[in-house]
Amino acid sequence: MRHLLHRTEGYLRAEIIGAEPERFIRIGLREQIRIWNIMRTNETTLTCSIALTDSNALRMLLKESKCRIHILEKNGLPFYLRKLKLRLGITAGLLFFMMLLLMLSNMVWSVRIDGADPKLADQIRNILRQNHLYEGSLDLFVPDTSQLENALSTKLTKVTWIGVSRKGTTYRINVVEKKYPQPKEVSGPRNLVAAKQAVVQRLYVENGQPLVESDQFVKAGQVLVSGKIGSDESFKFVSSRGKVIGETWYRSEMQIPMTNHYTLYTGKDYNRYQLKMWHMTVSLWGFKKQPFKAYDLETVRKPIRFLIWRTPFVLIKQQYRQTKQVTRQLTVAQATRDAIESSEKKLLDQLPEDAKILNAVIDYKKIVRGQLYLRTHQVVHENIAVPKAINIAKEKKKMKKKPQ
Amino acid sequence: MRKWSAHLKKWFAEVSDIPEDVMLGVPRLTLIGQFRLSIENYQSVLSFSKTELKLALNEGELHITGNDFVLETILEKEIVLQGRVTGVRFENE
Repeated sequence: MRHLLHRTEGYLRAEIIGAEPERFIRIGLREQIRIWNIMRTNETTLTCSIALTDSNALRMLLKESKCRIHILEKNGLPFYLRKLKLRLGITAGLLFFMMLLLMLSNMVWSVRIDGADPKLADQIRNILRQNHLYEGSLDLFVPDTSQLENALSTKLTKVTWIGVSRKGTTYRINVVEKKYPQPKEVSGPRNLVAAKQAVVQRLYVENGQPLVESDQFVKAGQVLVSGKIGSDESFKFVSSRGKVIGETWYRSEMQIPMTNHYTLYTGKDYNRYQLKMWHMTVSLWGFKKQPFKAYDLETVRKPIRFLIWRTPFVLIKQQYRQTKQVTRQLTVAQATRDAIESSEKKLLDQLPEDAKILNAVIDYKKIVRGQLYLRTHQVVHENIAVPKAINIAKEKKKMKKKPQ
Repeated sequence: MRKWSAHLKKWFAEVSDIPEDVMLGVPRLTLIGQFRLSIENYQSVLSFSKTELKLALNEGELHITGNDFVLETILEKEIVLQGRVTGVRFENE
């Protein structure tokens, strides 16, 4: 302990040379200069350690005791600091170099996007940029890969699957785009047949021979527009085209709760940064213990790398997002409206694009244990015509048979 | 007169249980084994060498002999000597 004190204060190891070097010690003691570890080297010389004091006092002491001093070593912090100061340039340079290396080790060097066309790739890059991920960004501020996947997949609707992976300083984004099968055009001779059971409302025939009229009931598969035109003797086959709007009915059953509990984000959040060194965790930013009463906690751990190694330092980012519990109590009218709305939406998703719901009729309504049960049917106008190819050979054979 | 006061101090030390070295200003020597000797209540260092240390006391001198002496600590009232101590001798004229 005492030696440690001497180290911080600084001391000299010196030879005191004179006729009577004991005088130096006696006077030094009187002048309160600390001297220790005294050894006799020879008749005229003592070797001792002297605490660093005013150089003038030391000079006076030497003069008074008629001794000379020969310094052997300079020890302690003050000397060390002076040495360091002389080499400040080198030290600063080295430190700067290490910092630069550390920064470059934790940088994102490339972001690769595979499987996306240029337009989508650009869109992805923009989204990633909003999440602090771009070439040259610090990896420490990039969110977790699963968070990135979430952010991407919620914003990109045209993508079936998106995967984000990190390998060293490279981020790789794999994209699988949705590919819709090309609708197969039947361009040869064809009929238009009913896709489902319906009551025909209107016919818009561009080509072909209509076989049904308005207000006629048709079954699924029934020919609506024939591709065979002309009389029985002279006929030809055409590719019939057109639309047949039919009235169809759909039943749906719905069940919705009268009271709903939602958890909403209030928009307030609180970030906490911690640095983990081995097993010790030090808070860098954000010292509140529990920033919100109700919150969602997201933790991102970023190991700090140095060149190819992982350092024992880990940057931890904890994001607290305040949440709010909301209870919504529906009246019967509101619940009914919601139920019908959602059932219609569900129905329209299944139907062709130009389908129209004329009206919805409630067949049955009941509230059981806070749940609204609803049975409805919807009247829909939609295009029921679907093309169906004509087997010409079969048709001709049938024609030949007929006259006999 | 001086003798009287010395006697009185000695008597007071005995009666009051205060250590005698404090009362009388005589040295207190603590020898640990053979290798470390601390001397309290000395006056000054007269001479010091590898084999001998001479100290001035309030009355008389103290001569310590031995070998490989190193003065580990020197304070105003205390001195710590390291080395192999072979002899401690008081010199009173």
